[in-house]
Amino acid sequence: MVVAVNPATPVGEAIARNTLSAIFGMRLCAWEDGTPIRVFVLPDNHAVHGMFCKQILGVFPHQYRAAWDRLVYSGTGQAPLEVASEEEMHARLAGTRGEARVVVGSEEEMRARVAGTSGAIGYLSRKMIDESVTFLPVQ
Amino acid sequence: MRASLSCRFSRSARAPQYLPWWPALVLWPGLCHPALAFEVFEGFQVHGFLSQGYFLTTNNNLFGSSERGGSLDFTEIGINASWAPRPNLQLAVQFLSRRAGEAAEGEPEFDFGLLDYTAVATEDRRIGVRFGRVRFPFGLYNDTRDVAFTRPSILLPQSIYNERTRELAISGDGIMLYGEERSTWGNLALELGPVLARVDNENSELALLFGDFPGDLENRWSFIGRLMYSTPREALRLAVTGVRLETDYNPRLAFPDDLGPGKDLFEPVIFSAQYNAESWSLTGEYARRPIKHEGFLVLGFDFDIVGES
Repeated sequence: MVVAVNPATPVGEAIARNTLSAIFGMRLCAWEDGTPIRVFVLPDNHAVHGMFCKQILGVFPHQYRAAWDRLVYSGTGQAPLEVASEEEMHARLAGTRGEARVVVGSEEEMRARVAGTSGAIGYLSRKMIDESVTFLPVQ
Repeated sequence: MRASLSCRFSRSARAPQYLPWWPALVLWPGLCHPALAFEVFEGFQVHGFLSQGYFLTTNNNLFGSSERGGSLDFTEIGINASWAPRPNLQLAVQFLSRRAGEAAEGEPEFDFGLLDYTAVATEDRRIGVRFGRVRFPFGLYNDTRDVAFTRPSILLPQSIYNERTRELAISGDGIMLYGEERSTWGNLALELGPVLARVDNENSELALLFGDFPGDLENRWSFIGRLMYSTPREALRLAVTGVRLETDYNPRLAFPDDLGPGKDLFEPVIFSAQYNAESWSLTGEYARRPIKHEGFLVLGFDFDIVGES
């Protein structure tokens, strides 16, 4: 399990656990140079999402979902971008609903979105490592 | 698009206190609450929710005629949009349509609309201010009480989140300061501010004066604050909420055809605790509610009492 950021993101060699916690809790919204942070997550029931929440952040997925819902439905913050939801919507708009089922919640999609979005951060299992994204160790 | 589907079944639920209540069977398939969420363009998100309830009771009615074949007279529909043009600035607005027996008939209501400015944001600290119509930080669930999938139960416990006082407690106009500090010993979050509650409606008059009188209620600047502590991984969350809600009654007719020009002072304090495990959470809340009425001139209307639940 590794943290992945867009290659142009101005971060150091590693990322602190409490920084990650603030980013995925949607409380820290900009990198040090002011670039907006774009947070990508897999669906709540995705195994990789569960491992990321529990092993890296030490929080259960339902706690994050509750925190994001509180932000969104009280107007005090925004939700992270769910890879599945966006892809499914785009595919549906394009009339390719069948294909959407193939890519829903995939790590390939997560990697592609992080690689193609300025200021993006997400997470991937180790086998997904390639040069399109920068992987950050967690301190 | 995020869509979730869940159906709930409950054998019992507590009725609002103003309804006659005997042992009843309440069926609420919680008719599924598909939530909708998408980003229209960068920084602009739209979210929505929908829930439809079905109540079947014996010996009392809850949200419509629930005794005879059940009642579908409980619907919650909401849509909200938020736009963050800069990382430290956000605009958010939510509209709600709610049907709940005779208390609400589905007319759209302006739920919240606010500008949020974060002055300080680091990984350990956040300080900012919200202006506009804000949701009141009250207990653990008031912030999102109309969103079915954020509630732990079909209806929230009426002892704390009473349907009768919903419009007083839900949101109001004002300024809310917030600060958050995170550390190895845990997280502290404070929200505090002056607000004007929504009292210009029949439900609030029923809640504060127990009847619909010729005159009108007028809100005065009131205060609400919530301090929350959570352990570093938020397994334990503890909160205390304090409110000072002041309301004036402006009679329309001369006494004794109307009440006198009274004042209502409501100062509830709520203590909340929650423990989160992987597949369950345990939550407890306790409220102490001093209510003081003076100047109404009618026997039984001027009182100074303390309620607990």
